[in-house]
Amino acid sequence: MHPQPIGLPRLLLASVSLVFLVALLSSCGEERTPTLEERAQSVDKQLICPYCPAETIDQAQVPQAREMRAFVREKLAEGWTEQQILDYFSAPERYGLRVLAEPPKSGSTLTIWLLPPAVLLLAGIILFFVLRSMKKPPPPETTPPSLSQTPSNGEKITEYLERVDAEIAARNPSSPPSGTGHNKDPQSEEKPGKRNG
Amino acid sequence: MAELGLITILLALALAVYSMLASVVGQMRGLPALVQSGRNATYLVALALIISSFSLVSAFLANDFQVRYVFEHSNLAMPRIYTWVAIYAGNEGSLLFIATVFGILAAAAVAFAPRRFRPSLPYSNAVLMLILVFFLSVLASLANPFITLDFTPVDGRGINPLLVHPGMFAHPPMLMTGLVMVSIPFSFAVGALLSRQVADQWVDVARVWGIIAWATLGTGLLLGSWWAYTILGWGGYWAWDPVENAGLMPWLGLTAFIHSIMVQKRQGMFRMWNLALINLTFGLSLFGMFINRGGPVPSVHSFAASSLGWVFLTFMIVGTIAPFLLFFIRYNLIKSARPLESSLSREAAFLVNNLLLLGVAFVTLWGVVYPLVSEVFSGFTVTVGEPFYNQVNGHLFLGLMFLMGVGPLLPWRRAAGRTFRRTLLYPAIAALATLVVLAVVGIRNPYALAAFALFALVAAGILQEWLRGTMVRHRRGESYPLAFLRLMASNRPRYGGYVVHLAVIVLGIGIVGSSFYGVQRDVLLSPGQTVTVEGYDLTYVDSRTVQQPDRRESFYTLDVSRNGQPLTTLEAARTFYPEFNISATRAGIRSTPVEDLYVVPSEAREGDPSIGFRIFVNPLVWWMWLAGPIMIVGTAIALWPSRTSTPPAPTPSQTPAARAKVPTS
Repeated sequence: MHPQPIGLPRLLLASVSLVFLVALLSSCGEERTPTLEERAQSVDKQLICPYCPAETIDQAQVPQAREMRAFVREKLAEGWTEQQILDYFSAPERYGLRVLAEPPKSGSTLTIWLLPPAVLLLAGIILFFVLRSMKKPPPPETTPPSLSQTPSNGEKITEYLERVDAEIAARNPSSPPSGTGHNKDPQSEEKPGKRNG
Repeated sequence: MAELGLITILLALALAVYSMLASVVGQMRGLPALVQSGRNATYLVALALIISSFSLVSAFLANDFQVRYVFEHSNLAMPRIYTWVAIYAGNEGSLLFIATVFGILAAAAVAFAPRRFRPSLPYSNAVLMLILVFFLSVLASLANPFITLDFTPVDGRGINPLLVHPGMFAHPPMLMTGLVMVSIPFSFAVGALLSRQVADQWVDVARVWGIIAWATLGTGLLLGSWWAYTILGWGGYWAWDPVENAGLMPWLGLTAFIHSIMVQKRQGMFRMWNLALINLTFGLSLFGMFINRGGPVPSVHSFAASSLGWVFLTFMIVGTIAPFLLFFIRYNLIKSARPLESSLSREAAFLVNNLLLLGVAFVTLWGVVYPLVSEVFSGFTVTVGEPFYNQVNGHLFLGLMFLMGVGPLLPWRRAAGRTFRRTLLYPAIAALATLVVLAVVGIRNPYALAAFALFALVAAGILQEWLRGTMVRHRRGESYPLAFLRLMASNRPRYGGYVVHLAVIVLGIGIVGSSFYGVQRDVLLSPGQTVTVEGYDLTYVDSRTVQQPDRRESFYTLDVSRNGQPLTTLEAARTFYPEFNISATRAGIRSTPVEDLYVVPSEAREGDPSIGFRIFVNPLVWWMWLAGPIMIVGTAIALWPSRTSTPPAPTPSQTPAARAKVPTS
């Protein structure tokens, strides 16, 4: 490939994303409203059956779960919202929070929602610093003087090093003697294609 | 026969203790004969346990109901072939099964350990035996499967009916085997730490066993989903139940491990991290066993539940903390062979992949233990169900998919920005095109859109790699099929890994399709009545009931047609076991690559000819089950030993540390 057509991919990317955006925007508001039964099913899936271990009333086959399902439909038909039904069952004087499959994102159960992102964020920050600390400057002997003619262009050095690696690996007697230049380094498979193509 | 079973367990226990001591003392005092004798004892342990298992099998086959375990898990009516399932249907038997499998695996691990690992092997052998000693002590004292009753009952209680399903022949054993197999790469890591051979000697062998464990556990999980889908009759396959999570977490840890171990294998980096990671994964597998054995969280899978909870809890705590202590003692020995060159490199992508995989494992662990945390700290009993896991882990899985698309396209060490952008061009176009097409077709859910676009990114990236490699070889004069096969053979870990990535995509297609676009209807039908669901016309034809000695089976026939064209006849069944007061359903399923039509009958009511049916239309589920075979093929390719994979010279001479110096010469 030539170094010039960098503009083309950008252009393509931009146009495709534009098409996508247009498609997305034009489609907004087409979402149909769910039927009563669909709403009821979504409520069923958020209520744990109080009489069976770890099953929602949607899954459970005991009579009590059936009654609760009927109750959900009845109340939705009367105009209750999903949240009202959930609140009704999870009231402390009824079953309490344990009937909710999804702990509320408020009050004492907020911690369950907050901890994972907090820990991941922390781990991500740690990883960032670990990566940075691992990126010590390469030992001076890896930048041979013969390459100093292009000291500002890191890419060319890398490419050169990769090429040297590939050639050495190809001559290395312990790599497959297939004669096709293949060795265990994935680099060597990609590069011929990149250079020739 | 029962006596023989117990005697061989005790014999195995004694031999395991001897093997442990002989290996360690022999290695420390420099007595090769003693080390060899310890290794031989390991083989004998496996043999003794095989005999013990066979004596349990023969007790089952002889209907020896005086043995309590046989009495509790079998009866005269049970088909003989289900003896295999009955072996591990309860707590004691499953422990014996685990111990036997573990004994055999440990013997294999010791026997096939490569020569360069020999200095560490006695320690690894001792670690394996130590773990086995734990299982055998429990078997010999608290969970003896060979306890006999004072009298001989005429018939047994029978096997748990939910286990009478073909999926049960493979799912529990593979899950149990996968869980204990984590101990093998772990023992290699600990052996390396104990013998101070912490560089890269343990890596190859730990990688192979890690991948085998990973594939076994993965297959077990997938078979479990299939079993849940076809027999539990709620139309789903995964419910983030504690026991399912207990199997998933070590699998996630192993997934992270088999990725990051590649970095050490190829680049000599992440040595510390890999040791920590396998320790962590081992801890997760212990947690899995703890949850399975009378864990404190309610689950629908409490088959092997027992009072052994505290024993396994102790084992888990010790087994997790001790290796980390060792790790910190040896901390100064473990150093990477060379620094990271760039954040835009495959090494760095693997680290982020590890972060996300462990993130999913952490979220899952947190969800499992949160009810206990809440109970202790705020006094509330709460439930953590599917919505929590789906919401939190869903985002992480999307991130993993993205990495799966981009990571393999990054070269080791350092990517040249321009080359990388060029490599990414076609996959990115494929992803965007998928987005546009799906958006135009009418898919609106942003998560489904994102997931499918990322699937396209991954698949296009893999295809591009394959095409490019094949073309290069073709230009050198090989025919296309030959060029492709030779390409696959040239770097099996890599191209096998790509096949596994494709399996993940296929699995993902099924999961996304059925989670976001499944339709569910509850209907009440009398014979002859028809209902239309998503274009399918289902007519309830009739039912018939067969009374068996131990159960009542009811079969319901439904004719299915679409636009007047008859498609198929579905038979759904519901079986009632009065002995257990359990109903098991078998769904009638018409499975096509497009969607599954899935019918489950609910309870029949006395004197009422009409039957309630729950009808599901689950799009794309078919693909999930296809993922299993693809994954196994990919794993086999990745593991297939290459003829040149055992160079006489130890690999450190080829490691990047050595290579990095080459340009100067």
